[in-house]
Formats: sequence, C-alpha cells, structure tokens
Amino acid sequence: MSNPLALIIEDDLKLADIFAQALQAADFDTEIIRDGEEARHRLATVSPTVVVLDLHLPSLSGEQLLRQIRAEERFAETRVMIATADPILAEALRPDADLVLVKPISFSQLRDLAKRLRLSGSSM
Amino acid sequence: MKNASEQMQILQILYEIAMSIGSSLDLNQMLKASLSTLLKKLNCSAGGIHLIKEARGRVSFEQVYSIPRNTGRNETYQLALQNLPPILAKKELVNFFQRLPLSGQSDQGNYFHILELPDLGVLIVVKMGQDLDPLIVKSLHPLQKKLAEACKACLTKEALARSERRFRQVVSSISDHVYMTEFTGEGEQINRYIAPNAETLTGYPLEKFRNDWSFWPTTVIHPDDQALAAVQVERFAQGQNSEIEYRLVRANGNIIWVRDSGRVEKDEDQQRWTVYGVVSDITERKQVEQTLKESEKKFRTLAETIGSAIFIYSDQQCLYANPAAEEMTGYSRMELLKMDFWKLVHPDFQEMIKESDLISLHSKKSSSRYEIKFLQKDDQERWGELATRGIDFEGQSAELVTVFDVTKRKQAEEALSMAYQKAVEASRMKTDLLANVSHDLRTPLNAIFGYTEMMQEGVYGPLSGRQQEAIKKIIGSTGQLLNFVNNLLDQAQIDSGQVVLKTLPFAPADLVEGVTSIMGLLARTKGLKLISHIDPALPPTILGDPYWLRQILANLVSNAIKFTEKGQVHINLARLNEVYWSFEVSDTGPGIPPDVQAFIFEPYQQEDTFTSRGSGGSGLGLSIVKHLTELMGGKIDLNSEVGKGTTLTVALLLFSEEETNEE
Repeated sequence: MSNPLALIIEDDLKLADIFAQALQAADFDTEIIRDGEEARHRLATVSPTVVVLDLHLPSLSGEQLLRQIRAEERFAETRVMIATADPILAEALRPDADLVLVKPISFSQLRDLAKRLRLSGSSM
Repeated sequence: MKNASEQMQILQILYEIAMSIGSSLDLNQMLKASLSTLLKKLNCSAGGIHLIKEARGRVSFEQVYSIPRNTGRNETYQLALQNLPPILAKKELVNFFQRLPLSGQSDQGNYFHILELPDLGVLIVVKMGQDLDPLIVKSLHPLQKKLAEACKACLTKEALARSERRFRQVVSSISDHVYMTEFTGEGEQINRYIAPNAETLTGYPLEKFRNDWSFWPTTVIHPDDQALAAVQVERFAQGQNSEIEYRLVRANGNIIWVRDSGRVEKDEDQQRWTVYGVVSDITERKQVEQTLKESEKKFRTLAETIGSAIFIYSDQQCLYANPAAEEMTGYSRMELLKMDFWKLVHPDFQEMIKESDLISLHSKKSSSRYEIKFLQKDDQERWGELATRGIDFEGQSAELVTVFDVTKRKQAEEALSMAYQKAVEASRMKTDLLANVSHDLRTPLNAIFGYTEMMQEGVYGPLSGRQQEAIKKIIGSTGQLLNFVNNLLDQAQIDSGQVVLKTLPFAPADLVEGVTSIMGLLARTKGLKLISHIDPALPPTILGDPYWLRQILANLVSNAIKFTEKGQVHINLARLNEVYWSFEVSDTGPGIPPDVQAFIFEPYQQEDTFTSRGSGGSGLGLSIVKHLTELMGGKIDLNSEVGKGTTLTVALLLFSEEETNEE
C-alpha cells in the first residue's frame, strides 16, 4: 500500500527539498512542482492528501491555485498548508487554508505537523 | 369867561410846556410836569392822567396820576370808575368826568377838558371852573399833536435805551467777544467799542484793551498770525467784510483758536463805515479738526505704506487705490481708478465672489474674507486674500477692499504639500523595499535553517560533538539574522505609521504554533525548554490581528530565550475573564532589577537598538511591544524579581467569532 501523496508547490528547490524530506519523514509520498501553471495541470489528474503551497509562484499564483482547490469538490479532503514568506498575504488567505506557515519553517515543525496529520487521519 | 387874549396866553403856556418837556427823557416826568403846569397856569384845582387800554374790543382807562394826590382817588371817583359800562366812547368819558362830584370844590362848576395823545393811549383830564372857548379847544389840537410827538420821541428814546441795555446784557451773556471799529475814508481807525468778554476770552483785564488799542494786535494775537490779522484790518480799511481764523495767546500762555468775523456797514455818505466784529473761540472745533486731520494723515500714511493693496469702490467705481495696489496689480493708480474691479479677479473666482455676496458694494456687512486668484496687468496669476467691508467714504456709501498677496505662502504650502507627498511616497517605497528584501531573505534563511536542522536531527548521518556545537552556532546566528530581518520590516512599518490593525479570526493554537516553530529550534539549541499552554476556556477562534500578535509574542519569546541561560521559557495563553484574554511569557532568567524595570518600556535609541541586535537581537524592543499592545486596546504588565525570572503579560480584549455571530 502506497503512502498518501503530498504535493509540494514551491519554486525554491532547496526549500522544496527540505519540505519534501520533512513530509517523507512523516511517511508521505512527495512530488515537487515549481511552477503555478504546471501545478494546475497536475492537480487536474491527482487528488493529494496534503498540498504545501507557496504563494509567490511563476506563471500562476498560489492564491489562484488555492481558490481553484477550494472550488472543487474532489479536493474536499485535501489539506492545504500555506508556506510563505509573505505574512500579510498569508493572513489574508488564512480562512481558506488549513494551516498557515510563515517562512522560515522549521524542518522538525513541519515533520511533526505531518505526523500528527497521518495519525489523526484528517484534522490538523 | 376868559377873553381871547387870556386864552391865547393859555395856549402859549401849553405850547411852552410841550416844548420844554419835549427833551425830557422820562415820559412820566413829562406828563406830570405838563399837568402840574397846566393846572397852575389855568388856575385849575384838579386834573389827572389816565391811560386808555384797549383789549378785546373793550375800552377801559386807568388813572395813573392826579392832582391833588388824594382828590382824584376819592371813593366816589373810584366807585364811578369801577361802574363804567363795558364799552365806553371818549365822549362818554367827558360826560363821566362832568358828572363826577368833587368834594370841597362846590364854588366852581364842573368843566373838564380832555387832551388826548393819539397812538399813546394817554388822556390828560383838566377840571376847570368854566368851559373853554371852542376856538381855544380847536387851537389846542396842534398842541396836542406836538405833545404827542414829544411823548413818542420820549418813548423812542426810552426804547432805545432799553434796547441798548438789552444789547449790553446780550453781549455780556454770550461767550463771543464783540467789537466795533469805525473807519474813515482817509484811513483813520477809531475803535468805538470793545465788549467785556474780551477779558474772559483772553484772560487779560478789559482796561488793557481800552487803554491801549494796539494791545490786541501786537500782544494777544499769536506772533505767527499777526501778519494775517493785519491783512484783515487792511480789508476793513478798504470797506470789505472779512473773516479769518487765528490764534490768541492767553494771559496764562495757553493758545486758543478764534474766528474773527467783521461786517462793514457804511454810513449814508459812504465816507465812514463801522465794522461790527465778532471774535469766537473755535479751539474745540480746531482741535477736532486737527485730530481728524492727524488721524486722516495717519491712516493715509498707513494706507500708502502698507503692503496690502487697498481699494475703495463705490457703485463699481474705484475711488482710491494705494501704492501697494499698483505694485501688486502692475497697473498705475490712474489705470486702477478707471478700471472695472472684475478685470482684476481671475474668471474662476468671479462667480464665487458674486454668489457669496462678498462684494455687494452696497451692504454694510461685516468684513468677509476669501482666498482668490487675481490677475496682474501682464496676465500673471497671483493668490490674494481678499477682505471687504462697507464703509462711509467722503459722505457716500462705499466698499473697502483689501487684498493681501499670499502667493508666496500658497507656493510654500504647495511645495510643502508636494514635499510631504514625496516624503510619504519615499517612506512607502522604503517600506516596500524592506518588505521585498525581508521576503527575499526569508527564503534562503529558511534553507539554512532547514538543512542545518536536518543535520542536527541526524538526517544526514550521526554528527560528532564538535559538529553538533558548530550546528548550534549556525542555528543561533541564523536566528539572530532572522530576528534582524523580521524587525527591519516591522520597524519600518511602525516608523512610517503604516501599521493598520486588522480584525481577523485566528486560532490561538496557530499563534503559538507560528511562534514556536523557529523559537523552539532556537530554545533547543540553547538547551532551554520552550513550553506552551493554551487555556481550554479560550475560544478555538478569536478576533484580532494575528500578524502583529505573533510579532509581539515572538519578540517576548525571543527576549526570554536571549536572557535565559538555563531552565525554560513558558508561553501561557489564558482567558482572564469574560472581557479579557492574555498571553504571558515567563522565563527562568536572571530577572530585571527594579531600576531597569523603571525604564524598560522607554523607547530605545537607534544606536542602542542596533547594538542590542548585534549582541543577540532584542526584537522590537519592549517600547514598541507596548506601543502595539496599546494600539490593540490592551495593556502590558511586567513582573520580575532578580534571581527568580521574568513574566511579561499582555492582556487584550476578548472578541471571539462565536460571540460576534451570536450578537
């Protein structure tokens, strides 16, 4: 049985790597997408359990992606963690997100949050 | 019956009487004398003088004198007088006297002769032993006439004397000084009269003037005005009226102003003339005039030198414009006087002025002010502060318009406004720049944190003790750098006044989570425990500004970690009561001495802030934490004891979404 999927949408490869390692440590399969438009295409075919979403992305913003995710019924169980360096924008989007993390985000914190999510099954 | 020669003799006597008394001044004396002489010469025993009075068509008479004194006033006579019928003709009077019995005179018949002095209302009644011959009576008529004339002349003299007396009374009762001077064709000057008022007017005794006629022109008239007075005398000498004003030096040295007005009346032969002069004290009027003149001069000088343009308009016609008006408008005074006022006002402001009734040019409204643009002769636009007021100008209703050039002030205001806009813009750009910089710094910082932490966690294999130490130093330094980056943006936002607090729902758990993420790493690295506790009584979601709350909490935690070397830092979120919730951060650090507590919330100096950052990062500084807390309507408390640690509590008003919805 495969692990649940965590989609990491983050244009900075190093951060994406750290997030991926933290989620893998919590037994998630991870997939990294660095472009907004690309993420939109990918979301058309997959329904990830967790989306770690950066807001400042090339070609399509994280904000637009979040709106799209929230608009579709099939993402009802998808947990969205905003991971951004823009605290002001993050606060504005907080109602639509399951969790807001302002960079810098600790590896252990993300790992522990992801573990809690795996254990509880749904709520964070 | 007396013969004709005797009668002529009587006539002659009467005539002589009339002539002799004609020059007498007193009418009474004259009448009495004439009666007495008449009685004596005619050998009569009694007679009287009666005044005829006529009032409302009724003739009555009154005896004013009689000879002998008692006879005429006997009872019968008085009774008869009282019983006279209302209207009495003169003929009846004669009858009356003829019927009148006279006591002690029975040997003689009752013959009366009455001499009437026409126009005077005087009857001279003579009782005679016999009737006069009609011829004599007839010849008495011219005598009567003469006597009447003599009496009239006498009366006129009396009237003149009375008039003279009255004149003197009038002269002495008025304050003006009166004089009378006679001039002859040959140029001779005779001073006939000088009124006693000269004394009051000048303070010199009257004798001074009466003894020495040159005293007035040479001593009393002010030396500077003597030449002018001499010209007046010259005019009088030529028979011309003259009126001049000059100064007098009073005996006490005071100077008064007088008006000397002389009218010339020429004699019939035109060879002599008299000047009737009146000298009036006009000092008071002169003083008023002088005051007015000075005041007028003062205001004219003011108007001519003041920097504001002053115009006076009446019926749209400019009556006055001052030099500043010329300077301000570029038009000459002559041009301004001919010009329409509206030509000076910028078209954009004409309607406004007309609508606001600012220049009604008729009303006496109190002053109104407006800022307007006006046009100079070369069409340059200037700003002016316009004020108007209704006034009386030279007897006509007019409008006083003043314009103060405020172009420079306006330009300064505009420059200031632009500078302010630029400053605001610059400040905003600085904040934006800092926001970008801090955003761009957070991402690589996150990578450093992430990889270092993974190494620390052993993701990349076990580390030696020295490697662990190095990792701790990297994490500590990165923490400082992170604080610095965070504070850079916060500080800029606070400094530029751009902190706008929002009211958003947030979970207290998220607030703690956000802070403990990196702070936990920093605390662990320092060997400290970072413990957090959330009161279950606190609603799961409350309202507030999560960003700035997190900044406050992060700074309190950061400070606590910084100063604590051993033990723990405790974050406690609690519901204090129905109204307040709080978060407190307590540590097991060294505590803050009371003298430091006294100023711990005081604003830090910039240098100090940098220094403290350099030496470990003090966060925003407690003054800014306090400022933000108070901005949120909360309060901050410090509880610290040396050796026992420090607790900082931020208490805030509790608004939860649930409660808000319920309402």
